[in-house]
Amino acid sequence: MIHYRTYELDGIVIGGGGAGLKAAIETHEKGSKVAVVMKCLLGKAHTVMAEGGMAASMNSSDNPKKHFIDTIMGGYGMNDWESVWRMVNKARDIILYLESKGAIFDRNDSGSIEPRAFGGHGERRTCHVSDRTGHAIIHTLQNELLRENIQFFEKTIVTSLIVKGGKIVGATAIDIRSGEFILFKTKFVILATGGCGDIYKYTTNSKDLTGDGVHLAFEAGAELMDMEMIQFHPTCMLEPEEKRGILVTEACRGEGGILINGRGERFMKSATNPDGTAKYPGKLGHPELETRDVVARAIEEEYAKNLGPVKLIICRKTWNDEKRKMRIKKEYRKLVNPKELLDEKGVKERLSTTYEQFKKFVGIDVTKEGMVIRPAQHYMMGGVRTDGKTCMSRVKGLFAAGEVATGVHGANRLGGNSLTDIQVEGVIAGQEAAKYAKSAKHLPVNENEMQRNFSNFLKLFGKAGIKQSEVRKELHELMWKYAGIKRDKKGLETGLKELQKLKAKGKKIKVEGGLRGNVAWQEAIETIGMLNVGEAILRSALMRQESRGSHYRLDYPKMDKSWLVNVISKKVGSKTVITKIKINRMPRNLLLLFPKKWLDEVYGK
Amino acid sequence: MKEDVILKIDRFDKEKGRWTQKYNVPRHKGLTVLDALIYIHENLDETLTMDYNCRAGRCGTCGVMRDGKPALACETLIKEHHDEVSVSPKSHHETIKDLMCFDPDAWEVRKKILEEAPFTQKEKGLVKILPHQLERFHKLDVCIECGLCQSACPNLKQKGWVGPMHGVYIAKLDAHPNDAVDRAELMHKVGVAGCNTNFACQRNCPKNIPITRDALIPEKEKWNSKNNTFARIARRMKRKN
Repeated sequence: MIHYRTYELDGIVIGGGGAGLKAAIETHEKGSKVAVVMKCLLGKAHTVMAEGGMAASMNSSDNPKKHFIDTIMGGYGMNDWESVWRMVNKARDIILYLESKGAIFDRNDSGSIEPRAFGGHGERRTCHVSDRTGHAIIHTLQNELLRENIQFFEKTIVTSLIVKGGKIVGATAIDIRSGEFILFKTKFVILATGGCGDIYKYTTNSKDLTGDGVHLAFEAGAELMDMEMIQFHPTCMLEPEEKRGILVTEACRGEGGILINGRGERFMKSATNPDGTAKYPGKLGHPELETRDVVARAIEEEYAKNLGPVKLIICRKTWNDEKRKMRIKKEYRKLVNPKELLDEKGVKERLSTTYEQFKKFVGIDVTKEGMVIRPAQHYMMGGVRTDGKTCMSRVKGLFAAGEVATGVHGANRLGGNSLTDIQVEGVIAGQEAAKYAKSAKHLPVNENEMQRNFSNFLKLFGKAGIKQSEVRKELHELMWKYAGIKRDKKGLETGLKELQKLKAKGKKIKVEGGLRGNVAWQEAIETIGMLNVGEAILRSALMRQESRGSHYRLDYPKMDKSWLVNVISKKVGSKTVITKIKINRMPRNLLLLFPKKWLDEVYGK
Repeated sequence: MKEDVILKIDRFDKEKGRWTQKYNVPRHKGLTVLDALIYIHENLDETLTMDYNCRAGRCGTCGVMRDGKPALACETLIKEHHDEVSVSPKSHHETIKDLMCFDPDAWEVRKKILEEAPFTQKEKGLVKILPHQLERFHKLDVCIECGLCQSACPNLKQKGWVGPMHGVYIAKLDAHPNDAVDRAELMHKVGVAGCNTNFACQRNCPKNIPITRDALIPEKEKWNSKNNTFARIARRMKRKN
């Protein structure tokens, strides 16, 4: 007989990031008894790492319609247009809400909010708090959560969702600190677990983002959508090896930063199409402000040429120093206008985190030396399929908000849109869940089933077995190799085969030590889930035979109109079934907003 | 320079009690304390437990005492002249296992502060704020609430002092240009009088926040100017007149 704690609540929110906290606050305000369950500590979730900003049409020249167009074009038409429409129209309210709770977005000299330029956005649209926007958001929400006295569980991992007859009945969890099992009897569960960065070797994501939400929802019978769409952030640290993948914010390029290759050429400016036009026109006249998928591939191409490291330069002085040091040719010098770069003071003020980060980890001063960068995994556009209007998945009472949900970003996310997305979806999921809780009832939980459930996790303890870190490392290598920036059929098939072997190995994972404070136990549970998420990504990537946005197939390098579909994976019995469904088409009046050339390319005539 | 660096870790287990264990970790350029700890956890001893999350000095989860001084493990480089590095859990925190610890009072104190004097808007809606009004606010807003200042503070819990981390939060709210509440009284209530301004918190802050200079001293002065003997006499005289 395994002892466990029981809590009876209206619902729980899994995840303590921006989406989770916002959803909890919203649900609480609507009168539901809710608790937040998180693996991290309160206020220290991955949202804290979001640097650049939050996209909202605040400028007088800007409007939600323009934001809508940029987001859909950035997502290569795969976005759920209704969700995008909702997001762009609510973005302003979110900024106002955060300001009313004590956050202050950066102002210009006349005292109004001053957004900065970001890749793929046709206007200056990213509202920011220096380069620690996520930090400001999460700390504001955290204090709001404490003020409202909402219950929360730190260092607690949710291990399974209990579903009966297609309805959420509760969830089981483990308190890592005390090693106790917990049963939450609930009417609804809001997933806000974020992405799955940790299944890749090099990632900008923090350690906790292991795709738990995706795994839990999949096991509970919900559908996953567009799992092949994994975004790679173009600028991440390359050295030292342990720090590889740490994000260098897009704000660097938004503030005028340029990319040069090993011979000092500003390759994104000099690249031309066969017909002589610029290959990367970029937005706001800045080639480096192309969407992330394009910049990431351009950087990888430079690395493939073996010219040496690609550098990001943000400071005028850096450019002057590097010009001399690297003996850059005259023809390449012409490509850079030093006036567009920040001066030393500007770097320290506007990109303070980046400045500190390189000083501490690499030991270089970015106002004197260029930053060596290379793409790394950054964001999961796919995830749990929800009905955009209510954020509810196919399982009744199971909601998803933020990165773990899908739909808004299509095939590629624009920078700044994720902070807006998590907040807007947090509100919707919170409100709808509270509404759902009023009509739903608590259902009984079978005691024997619980005992069986918990004993499965106790079985992970043992002496002779495979270490979880070994399996995890192999998965990292596998995903990076076969489901990275460039994919092809052969690689994906080999990847799938190797993953099956790894899954068999995963069954032999054993953990040492006691129950109390056993992080290895938590990691073993995560690793088992990560294998499932990895499989979903590989299978979906194999299914989509075209290149669109972040999904780049070497064997199908072109975008194909017939593939303007969503790839769905779901569990039928013990098997994974992959299907495709047509995307929800925009009404004619909205279609007319887009340039005709783009419509022909993406939608067809 | 030796090839390996020795990590001397103060370990704790509820059943086994406290002990110190040494591990050899291969050294290379740019190795941080956290990298070394992760190396041990993954390759040498799975049972070694610590908290970490972002690996980039932004979340503030991985605080430890390195050679007796509070530091973020992810930001602390192991340099060439370090042959042995001792790592122990944060002081003034309750240890769960090894380096995994937490501050049992932190959220209760914060809740009390938020109950007494939460952020209250002076003007509703989007307010015009000029950059120069934000100087002090920005200095304090960088706080990641890692709790290292709490570990560094020699005066914690003296005269009821709740610690510099909460002091920074109160001062930050006070520095907000659109905030309507004065928190000098609250600051006194949470025991700022116990702080003897020895700058330990400021010296050990991983984000270099001038905690004592810009958060604690101004708040102390504000309260003093209202409540010192001269001010009291002056008030009484005023009342008599």
